[in-house]
Amino acid sequence: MVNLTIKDLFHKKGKFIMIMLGLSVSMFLIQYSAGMYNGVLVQSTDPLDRFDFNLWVKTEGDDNFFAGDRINDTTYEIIKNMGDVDEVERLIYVDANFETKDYVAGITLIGYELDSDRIEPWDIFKGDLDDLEDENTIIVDESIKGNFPDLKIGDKVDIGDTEMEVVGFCRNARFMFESFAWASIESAQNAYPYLGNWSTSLGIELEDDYDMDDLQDDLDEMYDLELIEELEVFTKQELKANTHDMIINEGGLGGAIYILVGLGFFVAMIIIAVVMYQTIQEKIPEFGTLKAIGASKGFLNKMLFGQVFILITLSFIIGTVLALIFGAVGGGAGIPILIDVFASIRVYFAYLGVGILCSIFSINKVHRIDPAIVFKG
Amino acid sequence: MSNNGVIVKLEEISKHYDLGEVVVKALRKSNLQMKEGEVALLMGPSGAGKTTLLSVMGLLLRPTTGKIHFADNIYDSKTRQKVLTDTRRKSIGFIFQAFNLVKSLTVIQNVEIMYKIGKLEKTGYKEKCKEILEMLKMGHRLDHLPKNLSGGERQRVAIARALINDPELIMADEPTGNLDSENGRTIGEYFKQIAKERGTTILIATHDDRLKFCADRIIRMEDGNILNHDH
Repeated sequence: MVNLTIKDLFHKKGKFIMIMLGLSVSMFLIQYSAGMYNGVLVQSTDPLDRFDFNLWVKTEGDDNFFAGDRINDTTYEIIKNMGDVDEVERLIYVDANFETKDYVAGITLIGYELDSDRIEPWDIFKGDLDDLEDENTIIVDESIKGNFPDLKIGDKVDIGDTEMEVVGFCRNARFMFESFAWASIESAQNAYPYLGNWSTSLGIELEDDYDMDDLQDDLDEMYDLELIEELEVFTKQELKANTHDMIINEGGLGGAIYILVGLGFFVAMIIIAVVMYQTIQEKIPEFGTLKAIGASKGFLNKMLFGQVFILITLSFIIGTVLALIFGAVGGGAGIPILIDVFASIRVYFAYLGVGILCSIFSINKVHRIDPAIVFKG
Repeated sequence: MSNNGVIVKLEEISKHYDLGEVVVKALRKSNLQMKEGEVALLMGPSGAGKTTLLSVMGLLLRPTTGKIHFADNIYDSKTRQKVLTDTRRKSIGFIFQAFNLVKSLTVIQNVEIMYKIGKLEKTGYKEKCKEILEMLKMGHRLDHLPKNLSGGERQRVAIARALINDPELIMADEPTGNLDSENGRTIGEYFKQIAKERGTTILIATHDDRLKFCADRIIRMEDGNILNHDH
């Protein structure tokens, strides 16, 4: 049986291609932006996901993973000796300069306890993790070679105030354009000798009969006794959520992405509205004829909404594939594009809703066509 | 239907168009009956009300006053649009001066479209479409688009579309208006054949005197009134 919805849509191929191009680009814009949003958030807390601690201690007011106020090592020792704390490990996660005589680049310096089973570098493909036991050594993410293409094992670089030796390379350890450099806690502390002995977070594992509220109470008590600085306990999920909030709200990512997504939807709305209006204007005699020969409202709705559905679905597929392709290329440059299936489904239905909404006016125009126009020449 | 073979009956039909400051009386209490298998020409000057009569009788427009008796029902100013649409789909065929084929569909698809939009029995529909198109000598053009057909061929496709639902009534508006005399004559012959073989009642609004040969009756109109019925 003839499918008028499809036949009519594909009849003018040039026009169809132009419409698809416009809609696919707007869909690409939406999906790419949403993928970037998702990718940045996931990447921002990638270390937290990989580290095997469910509780973290930060200084009061440092409510996200990036915040880098110092926790003194004496505090760490006090907490380590608390009877109900099973394990505690220091972590340094700070921005630093990676400097050779020719160039300076920003990196994230991660200092960790070398004997840890819970915090350790991943995807090391060159060099030996054990070499970090030597003082002032680092393993750095290969993405650093974007700025230092000739960098190799054995090279000396300045990080903070200290010269450090590159002893290995790893992969997938970065946040946006900043590579991670791994070092022992002691080496990382050496980068900023004037700060003394410190870390930025403590990963904590508690005994079974002791929970995070108990820990918070005890830390508050010790703070009141001026034994330690004021500290706050977070679950991994809380810290992740706070970090994402910080990136979205304070980092401006949310606003930027919302504008891009909004722009994509706006372009799509305009295209759909104009295309449907123009199509219907062109075909008033044809719709009049269909109504005259007995086409019901339901038939016309099915036909026109069917066309919107096809346009939206095809452009969604093309736009998403384009976003995946461009994401793969852009991801190499430090922009992670992670297109989430469930987010995409939500985007698709929102896009479909927008498409239907924008075509309602034009479709109503069809319903208002007087079938008697067919006898008016 | 109905009394003495009467298939459609207009009873005191008026149609007024309210244009704000003026009310145009396009039909004035007109009465008309047509019998099964009858072909009638509706003639008169422009503005006489032919198109309005065709539209009202074809249930495209509701009358302002009066009643239309057709297909065992009575239609008037209050009949719901859905009822009119359903009746048109099931029982009335339309033929237009400009053919009004769907440009994106082939010849056979333009006929099949009636099955898509209507609740017609779908068994063997393809064969039936082909059969009608072959009867109208369009069997060799089934997969052509309207833009690749001559005027006469397009009108034959339009006739096939009008016939596919086995209508009791066909309304044709200037069906030969865009055709040369040879094609015009052919179309007239088809009307005659369809009325005779299928018992379809055909009302043709036209200025074309050459169609008189196919008509059982000529209905003349002027100023919204039916003047006389010539046989």
